[in-house]
Amino acid sequence: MGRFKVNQDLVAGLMFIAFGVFGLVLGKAYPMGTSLRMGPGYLPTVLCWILIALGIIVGGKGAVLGGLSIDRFYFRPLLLVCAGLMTFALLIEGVGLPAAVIATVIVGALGGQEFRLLEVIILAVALAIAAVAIFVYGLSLPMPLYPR
Amino acid sequence: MDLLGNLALGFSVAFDPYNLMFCFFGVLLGTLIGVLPGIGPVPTLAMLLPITFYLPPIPALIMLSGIYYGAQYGGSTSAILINLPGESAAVVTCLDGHQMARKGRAGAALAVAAVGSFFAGTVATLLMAIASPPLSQLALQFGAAEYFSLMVLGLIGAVVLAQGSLVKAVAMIILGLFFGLVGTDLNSGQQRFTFGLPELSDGIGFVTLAMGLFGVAEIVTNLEKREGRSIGAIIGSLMPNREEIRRAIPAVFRGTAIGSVLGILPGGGALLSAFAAYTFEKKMSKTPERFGKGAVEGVAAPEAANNAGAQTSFIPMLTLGIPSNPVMALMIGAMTIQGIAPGPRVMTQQPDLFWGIIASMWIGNAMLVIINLPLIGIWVRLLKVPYRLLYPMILVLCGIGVYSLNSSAFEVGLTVMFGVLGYIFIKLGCEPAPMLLGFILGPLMEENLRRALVLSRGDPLVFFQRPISLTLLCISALLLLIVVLPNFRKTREEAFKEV
Repeated sequence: MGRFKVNQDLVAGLMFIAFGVFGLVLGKAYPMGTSLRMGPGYLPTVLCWILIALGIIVGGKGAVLGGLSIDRFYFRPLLLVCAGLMTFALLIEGVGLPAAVIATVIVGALGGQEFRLLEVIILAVALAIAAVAIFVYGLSLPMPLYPR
Repeated sequence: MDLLGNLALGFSVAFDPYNLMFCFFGVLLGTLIGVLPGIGPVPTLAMLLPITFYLPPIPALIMLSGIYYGAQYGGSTSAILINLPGESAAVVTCLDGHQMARKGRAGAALAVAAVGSFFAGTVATLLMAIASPPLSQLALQFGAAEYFSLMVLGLIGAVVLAQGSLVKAVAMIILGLFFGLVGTDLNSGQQRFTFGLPELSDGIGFVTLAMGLFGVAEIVTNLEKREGRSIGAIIGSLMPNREEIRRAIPAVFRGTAIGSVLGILPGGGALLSAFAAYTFEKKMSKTPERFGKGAVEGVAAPEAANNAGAQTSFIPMLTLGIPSNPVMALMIGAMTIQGIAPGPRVMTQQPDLFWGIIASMWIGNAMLVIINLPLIGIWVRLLKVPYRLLYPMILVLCGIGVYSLNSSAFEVGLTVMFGVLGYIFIKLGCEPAPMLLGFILGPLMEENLRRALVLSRGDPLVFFQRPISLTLLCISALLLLIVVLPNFRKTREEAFKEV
């Protein structure tokens, strides 16, 4: 027996099992019905059990046979790219499109490996102008322009 | 004669100046994102989908199709010049294409890729025109049971032909089906997995899901790598020499054939076609040792194949309403946004749309040769745009795209969540593509399953009693069986391990 190591398959299996269990718990209340008149709970329950079974296969294989090790997580780009998009979600309705675009670009750009302030500001402003021109004036998408 | 009449109708639609303009716009954008590494057709289509809502259906779909096959042309440019696949299907082109460039034959490689793609595109367009009518005739006889079985086949095919672990791919499909259930149950009005959030009662939007899994997660993955791009190669003469032409022509034929067939299969499309064509070319070559060192066949065959495959993968989507890959899943979404129910009726009820799209592909291919060859200099310059300027742009487009769907900031937040999930999937070696297919097909499958069972009074044997349904299920079972065979597994691994 070699040393036990966490690997992709093991964690993926656990993830599938977690989704399955989560679905079963949440879906407990939905009526099952019969196969003639399937209730809204029928298919979710079946799917969750399949998911759990597959999770056991994948995870079991990972635990017994081992598998590829998990690559490093890069939290900085992950957090900042997500934060950038979140910024957009939070700001778009309150402050309008141009300001939201500028904020998104700046936050998102922090996630890159190089951050050049002047370059980012120029990019942000240019994108804000382009976004307003293309989407609001060009395609007339309904989007707020100014802070409310 | 019918074929000519149909094509004439198609060309009259496609040559309409307005449609022509959107076709051009689509292939131009396709080339652009194809050339630029780090953004592929899936997030691009997802970003543009909401905008197409504001266009009439025909130009919208013509433009979106153009992006997919246009990306196949553009992808080869960066593969050859900087050894980076601009588009995932161009991975194999890097192997020999970049070696040709290092020997000063970049121009020839680009020309072979573009002309080979054009030939493949022409054949694929014809094939679509010929194969579609009988297929949709057949599909018109489909009932709920047949549709359910067809979707089972589609999903299994997607697993068999996907990269990586089979069990994981199946689990990803199930996960996709599961996410597809979120929202209000159509039959009972029951809210499922909505956590009481009214925003979720209509279900999760597939743009939201696709953008998170393919857009956000990919940006993060791209940011992991240090950027180091150099365009060392000089393009040189675009004209291949006699020896190259002699070798390239049969390779283009073979690549076209392989791509056309593999594109139609569920799970098929550009990527698989390119891999298979390269492997095949190397296997049957008398001088396999030349591959990887700048063999022109290694550029010609996969480039022809990926374009043929990209186009023929429209066949099941247009005739059956079944997506065979994530791009087609998004095309189905685009049709739904336009109020068109995808399926065999599209051809009979909207012949102008159907034949217009097909004809536009040939026109688009012709435009692409011009966009890619004489204008190659522009694309080379574009390659110098660093990713740090590119990805904030993608991020903003993601935000605007998702938000404009329903004017819902909540959905942008949901995209972020799927982005994180997508990143975890990548780290765990789980392919997101089968999940998207499961997600799209999930609600359709449930509906057809229920309907079939209601019609048969709850007898599950109905799927085995109807001949077409039985055949489809048998093919599915056979596929699964083949997959379990060790021999096939080896071949499958080899086909994808070439790189």
